[in-house]
Amino acid sequence: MHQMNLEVNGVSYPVVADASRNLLSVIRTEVGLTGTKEGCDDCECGACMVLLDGQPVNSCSYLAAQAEGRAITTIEGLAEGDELHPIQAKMLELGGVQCGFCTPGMIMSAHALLERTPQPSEEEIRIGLSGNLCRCTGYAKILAAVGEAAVEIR
Amino acid sequence: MPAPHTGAALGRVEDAAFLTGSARYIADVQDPLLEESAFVVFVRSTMAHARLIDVDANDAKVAPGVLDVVTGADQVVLPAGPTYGIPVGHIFTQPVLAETKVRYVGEPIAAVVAETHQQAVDAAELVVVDLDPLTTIIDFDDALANQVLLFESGDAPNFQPSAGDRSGDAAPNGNIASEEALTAGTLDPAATVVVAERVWNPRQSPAPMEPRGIATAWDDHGELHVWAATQRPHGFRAQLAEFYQLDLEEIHVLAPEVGGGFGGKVSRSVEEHILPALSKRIRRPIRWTDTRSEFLAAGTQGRAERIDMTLHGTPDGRIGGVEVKLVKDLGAYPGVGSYLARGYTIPMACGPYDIGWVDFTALGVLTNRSTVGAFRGAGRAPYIGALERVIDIYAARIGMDPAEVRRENLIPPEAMPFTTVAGATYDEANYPADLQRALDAAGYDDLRAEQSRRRSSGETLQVGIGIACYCHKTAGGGGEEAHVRVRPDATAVVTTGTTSQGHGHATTWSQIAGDVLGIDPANISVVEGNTDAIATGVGAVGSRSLQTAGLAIHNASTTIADNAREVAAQLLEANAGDVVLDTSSGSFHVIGTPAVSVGWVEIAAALATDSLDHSSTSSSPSSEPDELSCGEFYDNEGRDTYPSGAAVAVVEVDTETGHVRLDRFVSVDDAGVRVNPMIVDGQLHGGIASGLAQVLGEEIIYDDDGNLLTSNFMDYAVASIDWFPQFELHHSETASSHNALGFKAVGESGVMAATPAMHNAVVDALGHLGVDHIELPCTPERVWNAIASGNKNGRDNTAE
Amino acid sequence: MTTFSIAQSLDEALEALASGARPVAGGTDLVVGSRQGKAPLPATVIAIDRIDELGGINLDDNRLRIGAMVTHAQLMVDPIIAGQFSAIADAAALVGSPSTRNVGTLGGNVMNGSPAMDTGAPLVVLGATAELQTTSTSRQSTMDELWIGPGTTSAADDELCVALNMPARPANSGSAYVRLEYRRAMEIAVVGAAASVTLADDGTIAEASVALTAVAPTILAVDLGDSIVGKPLNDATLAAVADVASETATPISDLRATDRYRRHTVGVMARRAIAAAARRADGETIAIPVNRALGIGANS
Ligand SMILES: Cc1cc2nc3c(=O)[nH]c(=O)nc-3n(C[C@H](O)[C@H](O)[C@H](O)COP(=O)(O)OP(=O)(O)OC[C@H]3O[C@@H](n4cnc5c(N)ncnc54)[C@H](O)[C@@H]3O)c2cc1C
Repeated sequence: MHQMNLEVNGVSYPVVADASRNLLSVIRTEVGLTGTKEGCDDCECGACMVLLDGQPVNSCSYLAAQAEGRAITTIEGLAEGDELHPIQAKMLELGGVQCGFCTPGMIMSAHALLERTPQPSEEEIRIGLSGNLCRCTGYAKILAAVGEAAVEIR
Repeated sequence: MPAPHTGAALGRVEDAAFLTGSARYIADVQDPLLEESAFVVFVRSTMAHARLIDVDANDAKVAPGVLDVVTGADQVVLPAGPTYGIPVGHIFTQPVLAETKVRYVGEPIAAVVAETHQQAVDAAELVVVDLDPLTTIIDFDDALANQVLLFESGDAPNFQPSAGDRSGDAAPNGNIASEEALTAGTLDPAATVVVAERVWNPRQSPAPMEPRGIATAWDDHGELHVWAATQRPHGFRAQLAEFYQLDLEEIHVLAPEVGGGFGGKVSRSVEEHILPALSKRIRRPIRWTDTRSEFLAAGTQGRAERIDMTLHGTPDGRIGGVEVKLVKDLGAYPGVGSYLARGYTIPMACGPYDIGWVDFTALGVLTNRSTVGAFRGAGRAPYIGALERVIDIYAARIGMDPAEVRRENLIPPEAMPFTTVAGATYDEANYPADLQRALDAAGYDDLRAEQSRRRSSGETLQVGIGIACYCHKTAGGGGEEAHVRVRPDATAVVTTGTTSQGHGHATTWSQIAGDVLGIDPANISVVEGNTDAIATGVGAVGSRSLQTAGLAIHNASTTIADNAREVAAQLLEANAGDVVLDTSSGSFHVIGTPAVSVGWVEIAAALATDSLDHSSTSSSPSSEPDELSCGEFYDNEGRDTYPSGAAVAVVEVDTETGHVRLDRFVSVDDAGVRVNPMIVDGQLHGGIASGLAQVLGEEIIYDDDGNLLTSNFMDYAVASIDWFPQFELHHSETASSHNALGFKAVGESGVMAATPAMHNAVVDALGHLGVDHIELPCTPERVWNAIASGNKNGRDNTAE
Repeated sequence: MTTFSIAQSLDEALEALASGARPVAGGTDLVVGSRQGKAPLPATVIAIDRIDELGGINLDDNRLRIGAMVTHAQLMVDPIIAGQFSAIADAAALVGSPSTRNVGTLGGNVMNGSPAMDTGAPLVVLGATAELQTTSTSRQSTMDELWIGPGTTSAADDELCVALNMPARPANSGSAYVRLEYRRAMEIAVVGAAASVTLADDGTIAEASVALTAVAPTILAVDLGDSIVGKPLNDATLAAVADVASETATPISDLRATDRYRRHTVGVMARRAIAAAARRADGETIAIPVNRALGIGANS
């Protein structure tokens, strides 16, 4: 068993878990935040996306122990109180959510993108979200929502 | 929000939870009954067809954390397994755990239950399975040849004769599990041009982003509690009741948020059926969620049709008739797939065209692959694809523009409602106008000009333009029930038996009820997916919720509004006939005197205090009066609705590599009256993406030994955000006369034209090179082969 | 059970390797592989992604040194790499998705040794060597010596790749990497080709090299012979490059493509890579990655 201290959404969580455990399972089980999802076995779908020091990481395939000392942000850490983050607000307004399962990961990727590239072109949004699969939306409204969120944030 | 809400692109009332990560899906569900849950993992067959010689679970049973290991020999549930098929043709049952044979890679052989999921995974690896391989049936013709049978004499009780006679114990038609035929109309003798093509529609996985999952617990009273990622909570409950010999009331099925369905979560799988038995054995709740690779291997799949199309037409573009020989691969244990030809494909054999003669046969065959069930567009998309493909071939043969051929044959609006020779009655729409709009929006003539420019200059990137028209049958499965209740605080609750997996029901239902009741949709909550909340339900399958539940909600709301009007009349001391509900304010007043009004709060209070003869409404009642509550069952009595439309796809093909890029996708869709246009667009987008992906590369592939080659999202290419341009959507909104609100449907519509429009576009790009057909998906290699060898189906015929 | 630690220094990492630990960098091969069931996680794992000595991109008069832990995300935007060693940036920009690029490293890509790896062909055409270090030794290995088969390298278990080194670029040089892909993200190359070109004053090709991805057990260097060197860039010489690349390839057939198709398309990719490299050598700016700029295999 490996002792680690994970900082998730600004809160420090001491965790004891096998060192082979992936970050996703530790966040969902030991930390108890279930907004981050598991949609595949091998890093292909992006439902598990969290931010590590602000950059997107597929938590399903990242060792939890390796995240020690880094700031982990999950979907639960995005809204401020009841106030939705602009990306969340635009997703709602423009219909970017359907079944919602890809939504947390999608929003985390979008967040990292807009931090890096505040004025993204459509092409840059596509690249920024290219690691997140969605089966419901055909991506059209997500693309629009992230584009408008960028404008809103500026 | 101002009324009317119908027609307004409201943001979804249910979204906050999804956006903040607080929505609970099956893997997130917490409940006191699920405390101390154990986890099950299935040991699955690694062979597609084999005799099961032995399963040695001794090491697994003593592995750390293991609570139970069960194999087919344990016969934990009797009868052997759930009835897999819908009763057409013959009914087959799959044992919950394989007993004597395995018939597809991924078939469950043993269930390992342990304290943690990881312990179950580790212990499952210790189960040793001895399989003796049998000849594998993968090829359609091998299956049809009936030399090797999936269910042979001695395999009973896997097979039950459908007619009740148990004369033989082998399936009477061997591997042919279902057979349907229709010949209707007369063939125009002038239809002297005959074109034929074999159009394959490859297997796909529904692939919702959330795989399957279920949790089960028995309570102290012996009642069964089930949480399931399901599209059919009530149907699943009925199956479990039959399977476990329980009353419906003894089973409580709850669908939490469900991360997409698309036909993949209809809860007919053996995995979902065995969990209650396992729970009972260890006297603990058990959870199961499958991994993506398990879902791709052992979840139900869709499509898998080989359609031999022969079109008879006149030399000047009139389609005289179609001859169709359809063979559908049902997989090893036939499910809903065996019903699709009868229920969906054959009735719409004419597509959106006025075709005088149809000669249709459809066979469902067994192969050693996972079951083919429902998938967005089931029973319709493959056939529309084949019909649209062969129309293009016909157009090329007679030297006519493919748009012109379609225009010539589409059913005209004045003929609606129109009954085709196949017997279906299509509702109101203007098919030719929708096609024309799509062509105009795409700039069809300019596109053709650009195409000929590139052809003559011989550029590497060639342009293809593809057209497709569709209509499709929806609203099957009977009616739906809905309950509406207005609460004393003027909020309302809508409960339905159909359930949403991302469809936005909560918003759409609130809009429908809100319009009738004059209550803001934000103040209406929707309860779905709970068999305790409502007695019956069918579910979100086959594009049906709006035209069934939507009407039930409307009707129930109307009854409540009528009841309330009576009360209001008393309060206002007027005749009920003179009182109206102002739906923008939610208050009742006498016609002409809006200043004096009563609202839902006053009405509820009056009813609760039974003070109708005094007009005192000062008390604050807490009970909910019966008059403000109504349950309605809406039966559409078989009046199907036929959403329709047309699409134009524009592709560029790199003739050096065969790579295809979609440049534009323009569609005109008629979904009938749209309640929430934003949700409608979203449904179309998703359907379009799924349909286009089938052209670009999404395909479930098995090798000749029945091994699944596409077991992850790298190899099974679900569309990613970089595959498509922005879709260009246009709408027609013709009210259907098949229900009082003019609703049609939209959930599956996007798929219908997307596949054939893009498919036709790819072939069209290479028409000048002699290519007249390429199989789906049009992978770069297939396209390149078609170019390089003039080999029309794009198969590599040098390898052999 | 896995034992895990995070190395704070190069020495600590080298010591750990000497006593049997396996390094993890971004984990996008190692951890993903264990999750897929390809290979279990090693018993002892040491994270090497926080070692300063393994970072950094440094160019001096004759040599470029890229620390093994430089990520794909860094490579694709670094002005030195994008400007002068463009083929590497082209390749890095194609790897996986933003998250893969964010944690996936050049060292991990190289040491994983997949024949479909994207940075491999660029490193070969740019004449790179891998700097391998143990507690007591340090050596330079050519890429050709390093990759000995699919997923296998000649590096000893205790050797850590600390950097990739390559000569500074001569004047009038350009390089490019293109790959054929079915979709743009979460995808591995069907085939790929990197090219490096140096132009003579008269515009003819003074030097050229080509290496191929996913058409042999390891990244394959192409002997261009007299197909193009000393000649002008034109349809005939480009076709000759395509031919020699196709002839050199020894591809396999798998789910994604047949050998025949790979052989053909790798020639097309080689030709397009040479053409793009020559344009860059001529001073033209083609955005990173060339794939997207040229629309090769890319949709949208
Ligand atoms: C979804 C997805 C998409 C991908 N797409 C691509 C793609 O398009 N192109 C591509 O080329 N790759 C792709 N990859 C593979 C992978 O991302 C890259 O190979 C990446 O560069 C690996 O780097 P890493 O730091 O994550 O390596 P790790 O997984 O940490 O390590 C890989 C191997 O190298 C060893 N190792 C790591 N660093 C060193 C070192 N310094 N010295 C000695 N040994 C070392 C490790 O022990 C391990 O055996 C993809 C992976 C995923 C999951």
